[in-house]
Amino acid sequence: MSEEIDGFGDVSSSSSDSHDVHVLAVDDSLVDRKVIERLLKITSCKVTAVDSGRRALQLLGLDEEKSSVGFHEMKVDMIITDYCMPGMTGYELLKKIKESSTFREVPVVIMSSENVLARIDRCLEEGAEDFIVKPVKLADVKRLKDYMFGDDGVVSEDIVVGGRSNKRKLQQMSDPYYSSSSPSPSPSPSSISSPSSSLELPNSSTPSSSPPHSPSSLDSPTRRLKMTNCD
Amino acid sequence: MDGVVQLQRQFIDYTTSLYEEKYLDEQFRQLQQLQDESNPDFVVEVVSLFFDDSERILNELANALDQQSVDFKRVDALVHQLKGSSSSIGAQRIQKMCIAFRNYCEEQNIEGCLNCMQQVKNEYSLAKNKLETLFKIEQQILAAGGSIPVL
Repeated sequence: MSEEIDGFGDVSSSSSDSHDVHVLAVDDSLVDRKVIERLLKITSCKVTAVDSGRRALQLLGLDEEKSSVGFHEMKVDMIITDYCMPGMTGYELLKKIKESSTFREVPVVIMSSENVLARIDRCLEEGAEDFIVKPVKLADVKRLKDYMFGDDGVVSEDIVVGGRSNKRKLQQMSDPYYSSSSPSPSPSPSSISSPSSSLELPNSSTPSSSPPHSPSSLDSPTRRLKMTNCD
Repeated sequence: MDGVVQLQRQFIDYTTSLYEEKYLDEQFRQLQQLQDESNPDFVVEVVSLFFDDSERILNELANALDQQSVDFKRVDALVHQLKGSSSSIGAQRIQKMCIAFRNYCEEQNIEGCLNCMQQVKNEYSLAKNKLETLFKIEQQILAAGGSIPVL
């Protein structure tokens, strides 16, 4: 269901349920927005989809030029954004979010059709939680939701990659806003796994190898890297 | 219910050929997975958006390539958009054509670009016809009281 929020044009939100994980999706492509929105809703997320980094910042109350006075600041549990967008790229949006004291702990996932390792590295180093190679599949979104907001209570450990650890502090899901859709009676700690851990899921390969394109549902982002020429 | 069975057979054969001839790829199946009773028209909706979006892009491309001094960056940006959206719906042949197209943009090869433009337009027309045919068969199956086979 779509609603017009004054001045924001292309914003659509699903019906509200404060216990659902709320994702802000950013993509300039209308087709991709529709797909990501559906992917998120089918995994029981509440979604707000916008068409630019600028609009995303406005919704988050981070746009320097628009006064956020009187604007009810949006609560988001995750931000998923396309990398290549006119105006502000996903990378630039990522940086702005990480610079913000309010939103820097919100996991940001980057989507891109271009599997350039340097780009992936740069995003992860800037604090992106994960990097998904487009086209985005249901398994990608399920995996994201599971390891970020999983109800299995398993806290993922910091993983050292190539001698370089990239620790993140564990986040407590003590905020009642957080999802209570899991069967566990008490809020389980949600860990924001280190970016490198997402490269180390079972059966994952290191970025430098050339994994076959496998359709298995638990592919890590690196497994889905196709070693074709980058655009 | 011979009519329904025949239509379903037609649907299966047609769909299979679309995958075999690479008009569609795995991503299209992904989209079908996202369709259910609560969103029964999801695939048609996304594909319709894709048609509208593609037509806009093709028009802008024709325009950009028609200029005295072609702005290859702009052409490339447009092709990139088309590549992205065709990839998102599983329209593989269009997507692959876009990749070739972008290479010519990078080389600033106008002839190559014009050639690709024509090919992309052709691929788009083909894909559009085929998808519309597919949707038509689906509608006929549903109208006859049958269900659409899952492939």
